[in-house]
Amino acid sequence: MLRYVLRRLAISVVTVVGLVLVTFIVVRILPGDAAAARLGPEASQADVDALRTQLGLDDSLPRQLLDYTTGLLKGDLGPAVSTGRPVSDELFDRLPATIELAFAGLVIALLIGFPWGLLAAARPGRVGDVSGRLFAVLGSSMAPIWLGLLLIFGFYSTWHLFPGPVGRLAIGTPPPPEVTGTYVLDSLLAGDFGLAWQSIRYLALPALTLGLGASAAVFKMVRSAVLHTSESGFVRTARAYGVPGREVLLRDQLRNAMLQVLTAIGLVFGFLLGGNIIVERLFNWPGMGRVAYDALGSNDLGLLQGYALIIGTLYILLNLAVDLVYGVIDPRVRLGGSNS
Amino acid sequence: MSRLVVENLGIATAAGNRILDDVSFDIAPGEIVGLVGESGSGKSMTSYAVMGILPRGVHQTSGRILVDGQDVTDVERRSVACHFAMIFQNPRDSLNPLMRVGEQVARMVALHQGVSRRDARVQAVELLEQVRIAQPAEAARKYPHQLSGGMCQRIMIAMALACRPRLLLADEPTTALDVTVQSQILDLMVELTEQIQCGVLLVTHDLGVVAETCDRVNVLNHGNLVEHGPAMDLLHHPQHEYTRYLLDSARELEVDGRA
Repeated sequence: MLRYVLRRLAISVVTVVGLVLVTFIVVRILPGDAAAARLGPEASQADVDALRTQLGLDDSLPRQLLDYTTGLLKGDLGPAVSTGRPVSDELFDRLPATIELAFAGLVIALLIGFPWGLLAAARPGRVGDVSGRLFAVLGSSMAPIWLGLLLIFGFYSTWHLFPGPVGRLAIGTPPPPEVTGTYVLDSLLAGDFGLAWQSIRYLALPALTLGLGASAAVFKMVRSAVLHTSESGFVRTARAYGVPGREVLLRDQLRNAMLQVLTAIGLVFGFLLGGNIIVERLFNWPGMGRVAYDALGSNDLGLLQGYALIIGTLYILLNLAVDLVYGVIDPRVRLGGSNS
Repeated sequence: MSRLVVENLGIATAAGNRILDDVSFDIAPGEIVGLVGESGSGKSMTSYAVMGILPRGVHQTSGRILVDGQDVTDVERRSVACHFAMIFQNPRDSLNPLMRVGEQVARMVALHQGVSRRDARVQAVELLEQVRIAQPAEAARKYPHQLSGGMCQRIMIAMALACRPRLLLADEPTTALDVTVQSQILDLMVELTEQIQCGVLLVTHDLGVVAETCDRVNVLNHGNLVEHGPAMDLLHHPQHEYTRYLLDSARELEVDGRA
């Protein structure tokens, strides 16, 4: 197991290095001048040149890469030219909001997709299966922006069940004292249940928008992975020996299907973290996706580079976590080596 | 112990393709009865039907299954109700890859004998010893991928014994194993079932295995029973054309193998 863990860690480190290189190079290749963008169209060429020198944009590429990576090691992602603040501050301030939203979306996706997928696999072709497949087609073909608008229209404008798309809390409400940066958790830690409830209500619609789409993916994966095991020899053995159906489903089929399901959950969570720019924009959710959206508008490539780097790193960490959980579940991974 | 009678068994797919037609045979306590035929002749499906685990999309169209004269055709989870046990062609695939093998045997002990988990674990180790696994306590803690095919088939036999079986259905139990291991597993199966006077339905395409172990044989061709009788008579004086054909092709293989 230790060797497995070390190998996975090494692979992750190599991937992060690759990610740093790719984001660095892509941003340098893209057209657009950060200095000119920051100073605006009125600026004189002399001012732009001075700023270019100050930002180090005139240095050779290897020199810039060296400066960038030494900065990275100190946690410095460079300045965000559009706002003047450090890129790391811009993004890390917003990271908890993004994680809170993505995690809530994942919880919703799992609560809906997981049991439904299991039910569908237990009785294929029956009501639970057919309705689930219909739901999956709808869920995966509906664009988040459309679904989000529908939810706002229904639950806010028409029925007034949930608050409007104004962010994480009602305008003017002070946030809870910061511990984790996620409002629901921080309010609970501060013992303020009213504020926690408010945070949940503001979180509900954007999380539902993300979660409904993702639950379709979870449903499909759980269904197909569990269904796939029903043809395997060990399930036939369990059935032959009269093991009760529910036990076969949970202890034999689901446990073996979990390897595939975990991979899918990792992918879905990664998608929720990085793919919610539109949802954050729609609900005025002050997450990293909003920062990236604004950075795109103001041609702030350094900020975009930082965004890509952080999302990519989160994704790599997520995959590492999934790989490590594999080791816990599957003795073939943990103990290595097959006898066959 | 008990006598199994299969009467006029018919099996078909949902699309209406017939797999088995009007097949009847019986197995006396302690008797080993062979069911031979080429692939696709319906021999495995026959054993699944007896066990009550026909795959999805395949169903029984006619016939009865009787244990000591009692009709069990509609009994579900027949393994528990009638003490049927079954072993399969690919022993490693037949075991749950994520569960320790001792745990898998113990699970059957608990299920079939209604004892506590703790007692079941103790009994599981005893069963592993009974199927001649050296250091059974240690082997019980292994996962299927850590064991050889022959060892996995021994685990399966231990699992079968955990049911206190009155009938063992062996579906090509040695086909996937090395030749040297094949006879060990067959011998073990014959010896243990003789001890407890358990009838065996041995499904195989290997006439050598039949000659070695079976008391009586049924020959299946395209879902029809074409010939049956005592093993030695049938192998030496086949009456039906198809049986002769099977025997000839087996001999050819043998000659090829030696050449």
